[in-house]
Amino acid sequence: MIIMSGKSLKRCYSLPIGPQHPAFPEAENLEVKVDGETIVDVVVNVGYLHRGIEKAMEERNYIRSLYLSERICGICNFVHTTTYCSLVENLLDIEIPERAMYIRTIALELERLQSHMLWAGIAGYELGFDTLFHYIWRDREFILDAIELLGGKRVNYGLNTIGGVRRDMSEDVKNKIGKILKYIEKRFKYYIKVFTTDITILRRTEGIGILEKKDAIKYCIVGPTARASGVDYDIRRIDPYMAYNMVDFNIITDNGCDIQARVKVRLLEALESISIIKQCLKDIKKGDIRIKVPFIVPENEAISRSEAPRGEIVYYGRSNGTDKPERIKIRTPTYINLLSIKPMLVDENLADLPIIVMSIDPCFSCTDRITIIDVKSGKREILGEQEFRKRVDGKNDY
Amino acid sequence: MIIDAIKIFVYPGMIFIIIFSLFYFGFLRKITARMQNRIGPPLWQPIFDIIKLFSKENIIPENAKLGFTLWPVLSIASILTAGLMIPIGGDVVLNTSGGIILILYFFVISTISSFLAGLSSGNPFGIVGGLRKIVQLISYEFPFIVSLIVPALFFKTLSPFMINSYQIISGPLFLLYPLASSAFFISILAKCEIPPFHIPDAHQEIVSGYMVEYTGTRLAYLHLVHMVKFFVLISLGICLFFGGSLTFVDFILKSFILLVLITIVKVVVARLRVDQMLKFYWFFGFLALLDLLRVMM
Amino acid sequence: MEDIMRIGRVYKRFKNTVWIEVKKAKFEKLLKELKSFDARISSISGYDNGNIIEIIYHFDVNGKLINVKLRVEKDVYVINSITKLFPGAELFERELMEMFGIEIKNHPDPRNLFLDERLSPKNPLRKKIGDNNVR
Repeated sequence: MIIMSGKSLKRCYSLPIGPQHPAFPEAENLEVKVDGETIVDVVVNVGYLHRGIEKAMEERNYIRSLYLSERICGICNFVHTTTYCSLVENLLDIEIPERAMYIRTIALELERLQSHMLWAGIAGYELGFDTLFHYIWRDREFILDAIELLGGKRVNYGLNTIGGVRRDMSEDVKNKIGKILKYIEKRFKYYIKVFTTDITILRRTEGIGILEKKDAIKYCIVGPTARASGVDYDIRRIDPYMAYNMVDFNIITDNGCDIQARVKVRLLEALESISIIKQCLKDIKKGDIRIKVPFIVPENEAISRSEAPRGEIVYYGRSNGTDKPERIKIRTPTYINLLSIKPMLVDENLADLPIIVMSIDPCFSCTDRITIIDVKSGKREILGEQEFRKRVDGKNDY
Repeated sequence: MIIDAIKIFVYPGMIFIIIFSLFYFGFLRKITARMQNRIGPPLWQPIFDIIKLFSKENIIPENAKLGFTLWPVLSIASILTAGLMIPIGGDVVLNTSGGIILILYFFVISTISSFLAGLSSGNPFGIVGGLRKIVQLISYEFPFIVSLIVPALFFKTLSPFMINSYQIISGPLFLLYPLASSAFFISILAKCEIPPFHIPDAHQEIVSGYMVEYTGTRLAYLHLVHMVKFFVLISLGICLFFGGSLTFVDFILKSFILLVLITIVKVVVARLRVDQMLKFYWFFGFLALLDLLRVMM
Repeated sequence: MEDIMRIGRVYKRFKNTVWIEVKKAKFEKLLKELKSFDARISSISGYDNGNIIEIIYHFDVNGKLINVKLRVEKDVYVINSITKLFPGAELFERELMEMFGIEIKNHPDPRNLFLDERLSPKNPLRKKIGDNNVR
């Protein structure tokens, strides 16, 4: 239902507008109360892509649930499978071989690189730099090539299994990945320069979308969003898993608390990922890549965590002595980062809403719809993303 | 009589203008893609697009108001008429003595027809898109009009054909009046919604805004308006500021250079915010006013 | 840290995690102790084992995971919200309410989080006859 507010005509019309472009950021349904141009309140509604995965996992055995967990998210799918495998390995109380840990770490960091590049491209696109978006995504293709060399597919590579990994990494693959990383490192340094020194980008990102440190701690925000507000928390450092306690790396934090800080944190983190992968490629030793695990998992309960590109992923699981899990609970990072949208958006301009919501790197895949409620006139509008953009940029015309 | 008909419809008339504007638009997309490290569509892609649109089903929505068919036709007719008045390669179809003012009017009729097309679609988004077009028109008409007056006053004639001939003799006007020329260049970008003046993020080239309810033939006309406007503005620019065109080859060369310049600007800049854009327009408008004062002295 | 362990009963330790079972009466005290250690709520999980519903609060205290298990009988579903002390738990409690049908008092926004009010089934994560593993 659309009821146009203010100066335009009143008409009721239903608009089914969904995401048109695979690169458009996914947005949840935000009910935004505006007073003129300033946002006064935000209510976040999610659930458009609830698929009942946790219930489905209870009816599938552990291996099938593994592949189900891979399909939760397209961008961070390897982290989901790694955390799931760690969960079942904790339930079984087994240790995977060291080579498997290194291969998992390399794939995890490659995924972090690929995810941050995706985000950087979309951020550039949101700011109006179409060309920057194309350049960054072209370079992202090289990372996807590296992932394909390692796993066999660009997305949803079934590399993980309970007890280790399924494919080994040959010397040839190692050399090729090393070459790709050299090129990507150069490109990243160039993009960092662009994002931190270009005047148009600085004008649209500095001082906008502030999330203060105390709010970040109060709402338990995770991931680069929290690190850009000065909260020094990264699962890889505090609760190391896989090969992270055998490599040297820095945790990037920034005290800026605005969008520019989040940009910097993500891009500098990507450089750290490149350094981690290089160390892993050097340190990896020969050995087994998986160990055999029994089908039946004894009664137990366990928890496992990982640092996804967007934050902390927590898997809690319970087994019951059969080959099907009794209960698995998944908590993804955007779930908790939703709470950060409200403090970031209040008292900001409506025109900055897309870039602010994008800066927490949301990963839902909902239909994008935004509801705008004008507090003065009490009228509600539901707009699709395209129309919201037009409306937002057009409102400043009058 | 027959020669006149050929002139009006074939060369340098409507068919020539339409085919060339489709090609120029194809070049724009191709060069943009290459600069963005992509391959891009083939050069004749816009031709395929228009032919495909002509073969699609024509749907008139229930809420459509009077003039749903009329406004797109009026839009394309007026922009083509404006194009007919501009000399191409020394040859002009409609040689009028009040050409500049008529061209201005036809441009405005075309934009208002697009706006009315949006209004008559019965869809709130069509209305919003149409309103936006009018608002933009009010904003960027100022530098456009001022920059049009400069060559008219300088050569003391309102006929584009005469201005073209004078320019061939006296040399390009942009060397003498660079400010007015840049104002005209900026208004090309603004009228065709090329970056940095593409405010709505949803690319206006794809169906959105005032075109939202149109399908089939009428949509083909609206897309054609967009592309023909681009070509007509380039040829107007050559005629008024960039040295005129003596022969056809001359025209192709100069218009191609302008096309490449516009594409470079399109690819390299980001989107301006609305307030920045308005400041830009008025700044260039006042620069053009300076040139105008110089001409009047 | 050891005081926390004493309020409830530690029934499992594994690597970096500690699992505590606590009774409803002592739960508030445990929460206050955790708050004083700057704990961060990481997740809240629910589990229905046929007779009772177990709610597990996963807290993170400087990298160590303290998992607090609360048993709620199926007749007595009402528990207090922890959002006063831990505002980050808001969304987790909403999910708990809609998936298991537990009533949580003093919650700032007790709407459904994921499920649609009209179309989705009620309390889907409760065990029903015919489910796998229901003995």
